[in-house]
Amino acid sequence: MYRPVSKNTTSETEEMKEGASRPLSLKLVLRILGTLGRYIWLVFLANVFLFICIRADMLIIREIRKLLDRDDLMTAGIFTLIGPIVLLAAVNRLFGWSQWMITIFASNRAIARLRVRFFERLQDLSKSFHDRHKAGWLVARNTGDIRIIEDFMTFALMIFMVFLAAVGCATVEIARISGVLLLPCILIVPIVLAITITYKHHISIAQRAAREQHSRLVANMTEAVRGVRVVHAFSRQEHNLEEFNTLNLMHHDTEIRVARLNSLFIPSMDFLGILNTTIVIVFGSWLVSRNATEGMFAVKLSTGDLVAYMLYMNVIIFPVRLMVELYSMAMRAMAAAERVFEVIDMEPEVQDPPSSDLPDTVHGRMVMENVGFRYAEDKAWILRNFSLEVPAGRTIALVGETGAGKTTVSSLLARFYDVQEGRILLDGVELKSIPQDLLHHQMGIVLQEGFLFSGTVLDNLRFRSPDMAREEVVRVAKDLGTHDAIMSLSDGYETLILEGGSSISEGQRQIVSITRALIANPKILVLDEPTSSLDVHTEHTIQNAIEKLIANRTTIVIAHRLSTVRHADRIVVIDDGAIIEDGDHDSLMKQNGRYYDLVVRSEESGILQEESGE
Amino acid sequence: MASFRTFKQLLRLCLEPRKRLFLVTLVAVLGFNFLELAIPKLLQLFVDSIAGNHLAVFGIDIDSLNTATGRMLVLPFVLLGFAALRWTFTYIRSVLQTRLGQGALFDLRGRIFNTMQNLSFAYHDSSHSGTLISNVVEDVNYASMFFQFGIFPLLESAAYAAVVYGAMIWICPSAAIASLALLSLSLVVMVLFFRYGQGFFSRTKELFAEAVQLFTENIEGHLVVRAFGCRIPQRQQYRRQVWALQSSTIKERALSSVVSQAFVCSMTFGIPAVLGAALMAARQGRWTYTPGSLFFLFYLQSSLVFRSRMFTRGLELLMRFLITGERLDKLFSARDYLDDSGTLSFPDKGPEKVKVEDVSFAYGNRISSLKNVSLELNAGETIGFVGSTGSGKTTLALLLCRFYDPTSGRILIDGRDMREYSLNEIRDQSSLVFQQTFLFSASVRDNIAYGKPDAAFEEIVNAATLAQAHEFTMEMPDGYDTMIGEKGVNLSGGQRQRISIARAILRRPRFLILDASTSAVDPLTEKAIQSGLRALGRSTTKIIIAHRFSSIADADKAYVLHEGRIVEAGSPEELETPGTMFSKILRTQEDGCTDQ
Repeated sequence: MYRPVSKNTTSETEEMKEGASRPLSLKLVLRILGTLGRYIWLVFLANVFLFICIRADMLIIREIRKLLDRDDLMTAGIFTLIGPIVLLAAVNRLFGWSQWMITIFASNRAIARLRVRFFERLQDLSKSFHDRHKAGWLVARNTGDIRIIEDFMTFALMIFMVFLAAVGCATVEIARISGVLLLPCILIVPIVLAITITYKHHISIAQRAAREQHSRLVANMTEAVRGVRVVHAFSRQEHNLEEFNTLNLMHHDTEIRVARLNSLFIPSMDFLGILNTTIVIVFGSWLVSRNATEGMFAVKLSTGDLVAYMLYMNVIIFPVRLMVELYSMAMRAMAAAERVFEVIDMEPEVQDPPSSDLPDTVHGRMVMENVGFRYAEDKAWILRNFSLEVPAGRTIALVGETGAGKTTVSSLLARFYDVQEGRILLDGVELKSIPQDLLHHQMGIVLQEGFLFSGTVLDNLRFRSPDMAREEVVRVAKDLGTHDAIMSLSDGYETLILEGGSSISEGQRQIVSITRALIANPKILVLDEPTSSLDVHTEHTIQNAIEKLIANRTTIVIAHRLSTVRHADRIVVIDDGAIIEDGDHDSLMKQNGRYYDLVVRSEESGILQEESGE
Repeated sequence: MASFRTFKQLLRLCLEPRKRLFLVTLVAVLGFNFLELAIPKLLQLFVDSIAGNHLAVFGIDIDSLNTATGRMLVLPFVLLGFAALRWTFTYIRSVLQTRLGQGALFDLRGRIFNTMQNLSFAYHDSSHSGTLISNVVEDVNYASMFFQFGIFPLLESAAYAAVVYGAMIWICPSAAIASLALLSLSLVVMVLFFRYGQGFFSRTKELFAEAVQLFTENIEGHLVVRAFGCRIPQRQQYRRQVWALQSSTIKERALSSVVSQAFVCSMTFGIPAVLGAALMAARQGRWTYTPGSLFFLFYLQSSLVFRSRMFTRGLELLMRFLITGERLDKLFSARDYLDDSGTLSFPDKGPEKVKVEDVSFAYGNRISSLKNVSLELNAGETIGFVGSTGSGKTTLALLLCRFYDPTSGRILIDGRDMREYSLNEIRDQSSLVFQQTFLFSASVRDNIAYGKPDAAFEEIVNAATLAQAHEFTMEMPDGYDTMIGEKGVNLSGGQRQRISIARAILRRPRFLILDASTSAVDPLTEKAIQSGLRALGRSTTKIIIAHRFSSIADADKAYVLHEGRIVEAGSPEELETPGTMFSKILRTQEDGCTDQ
């Protein structure tokens, strides 16, 4: 019980990975692109546009080159001189802007699809998956990781294409002026590469540290707010501020280290650009001064050529700086995509059959036949050779200590897990051959911690059928005796539930969740009774409601209250995954066994169980 | 615009403590921008020297240096020298900028943290913690983005534009006019954007928050969704939400691209405009054409294209920060603090008497939770409060620890109003175990020692033993060093309650208040905890709030509360006599078990 459950260890290691990054993987990039679906052609279009846009940029430089070499610069009509440039500027902007709009549109549509797919997969994944992964971790995937992927799609791909197109076009243009001019570039490229690789190594370490520190900072802040009442009660403010500021300062220092690395790198690239230009100018002038007429150095450079060369060099150097930014963005996106796709690729353990064998009228007889179950292959069996029959319309109470396997039994009956041995039948039909939604429509399941959704109480009550009339809901609540309790909430049925149901008390939450189960009017009821002690009035309301709820319904109740047990047709005492006592209240009391002990122990509180640990 | 005022306030808040650094940075930014111009200027000289025009660098008549070879010897070194100088300046400028931005962020984060944790219960009651947290996290992120990537690009590109236009006016005024005319168009677009565009940003933010909430709830409540067979409708709802969110994001991005495009367009079309204007000027004799100077003009204008991208990115971050700023301003200007001007402290032996005098209390503008309550506590007593949900027991406890001040009436400690005592004294001398247990993600040891971080290990074990938390702690894999909370082991409700009781008694408080803090503990353990509490002796006054009779059986005196009033008082035995409200409350429970 105190073993740090596997979910904790996995989520912790995965959390550490959050700051990490992965090497670029073509497979993942393709997978990310795959999320575009039919929008992929838009991305193609965007890239064509981008190419045209950059090409227009290059042509502007070519126009400048022509302009400078013109002999009639002072006499030709102004419009003949700058007309082409105006035109090219228009082309550049038209395609540039369109490309951006298309990219925004396509990547957002793709992200919408990814978000929905992620959500759907999480819905379909069985309880076993959710046992292992905390909600907070999954939410972080949804908010953080998918955002990173979105940025990657919107910006990174574009930067990459800009880089390719600009460097490619500019190189071609330089070669067109004179192939010899590319020689100095070849000298510079290895230096650029060496600096970039060293920088990338250092910066990714620092950036990773910064991200990790940032999450720690946020976690620290989150706890301080969530536990603010305890903070006040123990007047820990000063101590906490100190702690926070230690983290705060660490993060501050790391960010400065990152910035320092950046401030070394980016100007270095600029410097190399100037160095290169200088070399070319010297080299070019030398070429010109040689006045050679033969051989590969027989080059005649005009003023326009030289200017154009310098401008093209600028075009090449600038994207190199962006490439580094791109790289760190891509690495983060790889890690994020890996985590998201890992979830999307998971197969739910509990699978729906292609068709249903369940007849239209369900009576509600449930049978467990020699059921064996364990949570994982390497875990101990929770249930083994477990058989139980619940006749239609009858109530069976499961009683036993924490960890005896009661909750497992109810989870299996609701098919939150599949059994590994034996089978479970509803009206003679095996659960595995009934689609989950169909099964659950026959079933009311009241969980111990009645989870409520934000919205009004009324919305929660008619969760399954949102179109149900308010009067109908009220009628059911009156039948159940919970109407008064609901009306006593601050706004009655219209009371707003805030996230997670924290705006109403635990007892009230249970009243709402029990009423919600009855409004769905199920044939079969699986009920995990609340354990904690509530005030007498609430307690009473809940007990009465439960009694009404279980009448004339096949009910499997994990009972914690003496009164509930007494209303059951049969009581099954479970210990260590096996049934040890079976019968009604009176006969079990006579046996003077485990049940008798439990009842005696609970005389005072009316609550049957030691502690809830599950 | 209100948001600009907030923005100015926030900026002042962040920059005031580092005025000198800010000024130095500004100088560095301007200096850097002049150097930025030096490079193309030198290139111009190069170009012109190659084109065979007369030129001079730093008074050296390069032509006199005899032939092209001579020119080419000096200029490259001058150019590289300037490049190195620029490199140094860029480095210094970036480091200064980062120091400034990160320093401001450091302050801002600390301030947010401290404000949040010091605001009174009343503030936290009225704001939902989940929203509060996500807002704060978001605010910190946007502030980081702004101070790292927003403010300096904005300043720098503005400074650069100023320098460039200065240079242009100096070289060729007509070219400058052409470029400025186009720039003014984009400035108009920007102003319009700021006036009308903010709505889109906040709308997207809202939609995102809603989508996250929907997602979170469906994950947390996944079993409920499944159990009710509601996966399909929930899925449709989520799909609609995501679709709305992404559509709004598209609109937002498209809208902000209007601004950036306005700048980029005007700067791009500025290229032919500048060239045309310069050539016209040359023909009219207002400007001397050289290939180098035309190149220089072209270079200046096209560098503005890049700077305008930088500028608009800064603008976008500024926009987001403005929305955040408003929220932060609200947080910083919240006045929900308890008055902490009291200076009295308790006598060494602890106070003798606590007297509640005609106290009423209402949360916000809601109906009163307590109405004219009066009672007296003597040091060392054990007092029980019973009553149904909403009867005001918890409120009374919170008032006794001064988490709120009464709306009317007063609480006297040894005859002096509670507000005359220092808040720290009251907090240090009283421990409240809350109804809803909150433990921190830390070890068991750190959790128990939360209120007394320097406690010796023996003390911790002792407190845990009294609270019946020792035994199960020792069964855990790392004993007292076992991590609990989000990333640690799962504890049952009862175990969590026992740890929080241990946390409260470790401090040996003068007043110990237990608010239904054994509700998830079984009766046997509860008895053991009670005897543990007795061991604290008469130096601790105990107030026990409970639903069960067993929990208050030990009390010297018990009060029955109903709808905010004390309806009965007496020893538990007295109260148990038939006919009393108290016995009615207790009886119902047993009836529920026996009569059916």
